Amino acid sequence: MSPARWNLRRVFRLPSTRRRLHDDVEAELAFHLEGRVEELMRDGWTREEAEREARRRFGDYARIELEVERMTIESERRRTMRDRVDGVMADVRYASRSLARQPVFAAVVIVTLTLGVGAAAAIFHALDRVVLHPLPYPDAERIVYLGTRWGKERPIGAVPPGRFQFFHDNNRVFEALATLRTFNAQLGDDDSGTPVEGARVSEDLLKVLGAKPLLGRGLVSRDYEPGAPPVAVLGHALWATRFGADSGIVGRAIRLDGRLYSVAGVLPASFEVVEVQSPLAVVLPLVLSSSDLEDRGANYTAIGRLRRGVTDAQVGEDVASMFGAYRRQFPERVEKDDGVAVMTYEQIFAADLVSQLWIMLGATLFVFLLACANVANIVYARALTRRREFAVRAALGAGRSRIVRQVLMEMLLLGVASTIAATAASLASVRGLVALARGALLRESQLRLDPRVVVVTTIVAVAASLVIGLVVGLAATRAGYTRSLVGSARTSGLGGSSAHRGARGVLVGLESALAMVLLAGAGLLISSFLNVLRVDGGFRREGIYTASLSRPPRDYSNAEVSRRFEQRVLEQLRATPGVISAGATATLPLRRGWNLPTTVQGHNDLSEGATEFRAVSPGYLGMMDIPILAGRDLAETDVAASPPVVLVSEAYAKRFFPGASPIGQRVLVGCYKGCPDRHPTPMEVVGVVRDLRDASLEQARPRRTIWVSWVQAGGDMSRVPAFVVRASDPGVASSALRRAIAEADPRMTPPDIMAMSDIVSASLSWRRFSMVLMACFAGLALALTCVGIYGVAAYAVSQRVQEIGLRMALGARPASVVALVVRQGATPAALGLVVGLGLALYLTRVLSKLLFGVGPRDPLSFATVALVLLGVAVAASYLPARRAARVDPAGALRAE
Amino acid sequence: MHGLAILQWIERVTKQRLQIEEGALYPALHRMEEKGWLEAEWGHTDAGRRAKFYRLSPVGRRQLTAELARWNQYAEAAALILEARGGST
Repeated sequence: MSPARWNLRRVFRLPSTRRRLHDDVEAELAFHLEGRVEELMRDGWTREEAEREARRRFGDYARIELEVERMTIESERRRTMRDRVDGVMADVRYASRSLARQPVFAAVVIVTLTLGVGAAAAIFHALDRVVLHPLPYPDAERIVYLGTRWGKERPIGAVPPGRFQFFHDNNRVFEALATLRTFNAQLGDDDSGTPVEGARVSEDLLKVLGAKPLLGRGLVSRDYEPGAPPVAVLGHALWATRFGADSGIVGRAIRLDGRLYSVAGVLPASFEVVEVQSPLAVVLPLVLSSSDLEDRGANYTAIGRLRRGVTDAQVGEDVASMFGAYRRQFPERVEKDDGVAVMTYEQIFAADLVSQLWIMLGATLFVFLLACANVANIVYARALTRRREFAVRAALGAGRSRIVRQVLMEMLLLGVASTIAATAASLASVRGLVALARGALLRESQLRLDPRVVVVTTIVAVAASLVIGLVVGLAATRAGYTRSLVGSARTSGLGGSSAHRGARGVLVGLESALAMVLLAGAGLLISSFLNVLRVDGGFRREGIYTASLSRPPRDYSNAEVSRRFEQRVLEQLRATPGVISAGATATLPLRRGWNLPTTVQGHNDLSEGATEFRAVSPGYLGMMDIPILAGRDLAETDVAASPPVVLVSEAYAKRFFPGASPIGQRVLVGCYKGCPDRHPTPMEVVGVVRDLRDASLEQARPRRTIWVSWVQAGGDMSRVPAFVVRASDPGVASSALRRAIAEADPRMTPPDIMAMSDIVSASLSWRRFSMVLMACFAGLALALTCVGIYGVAAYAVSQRVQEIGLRMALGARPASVVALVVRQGATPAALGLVVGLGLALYLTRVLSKLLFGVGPRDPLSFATVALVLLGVAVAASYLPARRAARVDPAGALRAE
Repeated sequence: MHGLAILQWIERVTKQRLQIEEGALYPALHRMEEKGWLEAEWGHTDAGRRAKFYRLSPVGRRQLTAELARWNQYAEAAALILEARGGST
């Protein structure tokens, strides 16, 4: 091989073949041997002898040849690698220089991609945590919850204790089944004690979870035996904060509600099975007594670990047959429409959130596609303005692939930059999600940065950038682009430019279609939200301020203590200037309330299992503007010693006393279909109260409710009520509530004070969550579409300056030029809008569950958002159109 | 210089006192080429035969100077040791 050829190979980076390398080595060694032979022959050796001698002097020919060949191949490999790296580095340098020359372009692409990818990443992040990996335990997919299902209602994630016990003893599909019930207690001495949340748990809980205690031991059989010394297992957070993560804690004593417990162990930080306000502080053994087993209340969380390999069908079958056996054995414990359900963590605690998050993930997919379309649009526009640069490079010998590679490299850089920005943005916005879903399931602890989410984000952002780069690179370098060198870009592009405009028109149409779908969704959610806001719950919101108390001192289980406290607070409040009226209630509107079975006295069939039960102070109804429709209100004279009275709601009266006046009738409270073994005092109905929507503003029908006087409610309904005042000034109200409570009992923990309007607003947090997210996505979509339409229209105008100048020279008026440009700019958007309208009509069905008072195809919402989109399209093309109308005909024509 | 010429040169200057396995020269040459001490190029001998020619590169020349200096130091030290032993006997 000649030196020249060899160098050419280097210059053109032609790959060296193994064959050639082998030949080279062989040639070099052969030259040596041949030279030696000739030399020896000159000295008089015969050819044969000379060849033998040369070989001898050379040594082991085969080994040396192999060694040299191996070295040559190795060094060749290294050289090509170096060349390749150099090539990539050159591309990177070239691409970054080229981007640096147009920082606005780079910034717009990065911001657009970041918004598109970041939104999806944030939602994906939340979804991943809540749905895919909610429980931090081994084989967590085998952990399920046993729940109760009433008719067609959504099942609740708890069961009555007797049912748990039966399933625990008889099931065949669970490896282990455990139950727990949470409680509030005072940790430490009475006066300086800290309120904590704990759970009593049955024996196998740790086995179900597959969790191991961090220190000491979990609860074992002997802790459950009668007369066993009381032991407690501490939660990680309590151990870390209150006991300074003391490793010698095991065996020490703690005081809970006045009783002493010996600490058996400490739970790991990941321990998490139920939704409670704060992590469980302490775990105690739960022993079910025979009277517990009779309890009908579904208040026990039952959690089980399925045996390895059992199918969903087997589980369903076994649970159903077991429930049949349970019903036969304890018919009195099973009610009509009563059933069991096997549920996942997510189904119990996050069903609403999960379905919303899926919808939102779908919405972010649209935002993402829209961002991609927009980036493609921008990159395409830039590629068109660079046709001359490309043409020059092509003329100098750069192939099409080289130019596409350059575009790809630029997109890769932009994609990587966007990934970094999107990851940061999703982390930041996830905090916002938590704030938005306040009171809902999303918790900070579930939203740690997960490497998998980052990986997915990176893949999506980079892949999207590369696809855009490839498509745009190929499209922009379609045949004919070299002609750009000849003459101006405009004249060369006469044929091509309409094709280019067409491609960009398609992108704009796509953007409008996607934006239309998102806007329709947002429009429907916003009108739903407004509809709910307009719902009249039937109670007053303005000027009402509430104070909720939790964890009263232990002596409040004595009704007398609690009653005295209530009286003192109310007296103090009523004496405060600025307070118009004051009252107390066991249940604030829109908060979870109590329900109890009721039976009409003498009519055991006139009975229901769950009547809403409201215990309030006399005067509360008047203060809340809740009218009495018949009879009288509760009065100060209805005290513990006087005959018990009750008010019933319209719905209750209609159901149990149809066509007759309920006044004077008697109701047994706490009794289902009569009370054969107990004799509660019948309560006389003295009035009828208007129906409320106080469980939720969205409830379809008012619930049947009974109202009793707080002092006659009896039992441990609520050891301390919430106080409510009506006042014109929020500051006066809250300081009055705070002071009255502190003065009545200094031991009381400070109240949680909220305006009624805030309670209403908090009850809508779900709705606000989806509405705000969807509105953000729609706003984003609108902005991106606007940028897209503007970009295309502006480019078209800049390309057609001469044509417009000509038209104007020939007498076209500026108005008609504006109309022309606007029409051309808005047409693809309008076409996209029609497509998007069809798509939206089909897709908004998924929102059905989130809508209120508006159908998924609400014509008004659709028409409104369509007009908004059209308006934006016209406005976006109006700016370039106005510039077109200002074209100076003479100047434009001279420029040619 | 091609490989054979290098060997012939060694034979000439050492008056054939240094007997080496000739083939071993080639791995050494390639290794020095890979390190950048030698530059290699295919060319033709005076007799018109194709051969691979090696030339010392600037890097190689620096390396040679350094190696020579080290060798001289070593030789000096060895000579000193030998002299010292001669003196003591």
